[in-house]
Amino acid sequence: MSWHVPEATLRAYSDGRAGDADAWSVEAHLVECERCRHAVGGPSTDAIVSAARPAALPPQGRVRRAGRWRGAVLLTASGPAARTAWLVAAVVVLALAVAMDTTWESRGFAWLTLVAPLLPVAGVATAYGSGLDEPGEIVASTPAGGLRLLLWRTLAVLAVSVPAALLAGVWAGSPAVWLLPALGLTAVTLAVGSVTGLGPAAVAVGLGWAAAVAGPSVGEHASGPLLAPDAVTVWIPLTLAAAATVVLNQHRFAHLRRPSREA
Amino acid sequence: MTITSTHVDVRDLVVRYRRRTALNGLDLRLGAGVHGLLGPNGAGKTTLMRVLATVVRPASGGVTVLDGDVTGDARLRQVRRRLGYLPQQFGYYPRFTVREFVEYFAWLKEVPRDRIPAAVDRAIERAGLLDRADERLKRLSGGMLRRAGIAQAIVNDPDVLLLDEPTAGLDPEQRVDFRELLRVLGVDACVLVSTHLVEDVAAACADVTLLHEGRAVFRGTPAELAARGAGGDGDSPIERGYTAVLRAARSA
Repeated sequence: MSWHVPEATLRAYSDGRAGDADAWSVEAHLVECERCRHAVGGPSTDAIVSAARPAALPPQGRVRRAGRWRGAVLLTASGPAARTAWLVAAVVVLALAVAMDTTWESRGFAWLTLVAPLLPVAGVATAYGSGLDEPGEIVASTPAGGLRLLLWRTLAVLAVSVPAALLAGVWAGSPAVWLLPALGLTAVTLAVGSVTGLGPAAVAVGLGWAAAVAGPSVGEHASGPLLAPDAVTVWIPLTLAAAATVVLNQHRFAHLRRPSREA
Repeated sequence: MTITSTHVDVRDLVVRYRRRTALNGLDLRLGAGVHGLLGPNGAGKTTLMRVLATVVRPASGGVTVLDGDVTGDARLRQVRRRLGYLPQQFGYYPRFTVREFVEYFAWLKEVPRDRIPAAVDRAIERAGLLDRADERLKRLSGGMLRRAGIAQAIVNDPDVLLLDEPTAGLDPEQRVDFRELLRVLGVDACVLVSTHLVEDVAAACADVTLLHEGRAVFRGTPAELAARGAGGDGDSPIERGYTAVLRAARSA
């Protein structure tokens, strides 16, 4: 081949400065001419060649196989109440309650009875849309946001706090009379929360429970009427009514309540 | 993907926080493409993002996203499946790895189960974080966290993507990569980017909306905004356009 690309044009081409017409004719020539191909072979050619090569991807990651079980684990295990901090707080509160009960038995006031049903109430209050759920803002924009995720997380709260309180009860040797109230108060918190927001609802339910438990025990009885064996007739209808309220009001959980942060 | 002509349609939108009115009769229609949302602090950018992301319900006005009315509840879930949202300040679970974080949102967005593993890796790769994918979030720098946030926003291949200050914390090179990603995403999705960095808008957006005190005071291309620059202050034509339009809006 007698004609070769002038060096200036070649440099312009390899730097990407050549015009379209020039670039086309240089490329047409390069296909034929090995000498000019070598002349082009600067650092930029190396870059082009390496870009054309399949990239060295990092090893395939460990995204779990997306089975139903994995989905349930992710949905339940993500709420604030599934954190170690929550578990530690629950254990400390229960241990204190048991310690108070065993130390001041004579007073006849059951701290564990007061505290155990309120643990899930506190957990539910922080489970969804609270400041403790850090990515709550993004979560609220997803289709799983709202009541669906709140119920998954409530399940997680109950799964942690009820067995913990049962163990504490076994240790303290006191009967688990609070089991039904625990479920009932959780349901009532959700029901009231659908109207007022979960935080205020939990506070109201907590104060109400404290009054119901502590009120009668100031007098003669160790536990109030709400803990008597026949209180089942109170708790079961109450729980069902609360559950129905939650279902009817489910749209109220669809958006975040507080237009909190401004900008 | 469904064919949608207007991705976002906002009519006479009003949002109030206790006493302050954040959005005051805003009208906005957006189709596919990359749209910039500019405005001073407190102009209502984040509020608009939160309403479009279906996080808060507006006081009044019509908001239609992907042909679904998001002020009601009937179509909310279908619309949310096709949304991507990156808030300005987003919290995260510090013990999650990048992969777990993105996977978590793939589940919340109800991505079909058989597509989740591939979708997660693809989103992380597009956000340029694949080499750190198994790192815990608490060990990432601010720019990397931001990219993890972008990855969760695009994991469901959203038709409407809302990014609130997405370039905060990114270094200049990452910002260039990010604009490139925006252009790719904007081919068939509606991407709304709020920012106070005027040069991001100039480089990546097909059109710009300028908010001031809860209203749109300008809508046009970056070039049109730059052409308004007479009498404004700033280092670039578009910055001068921005300040000139704002000044006119304040004195009106």
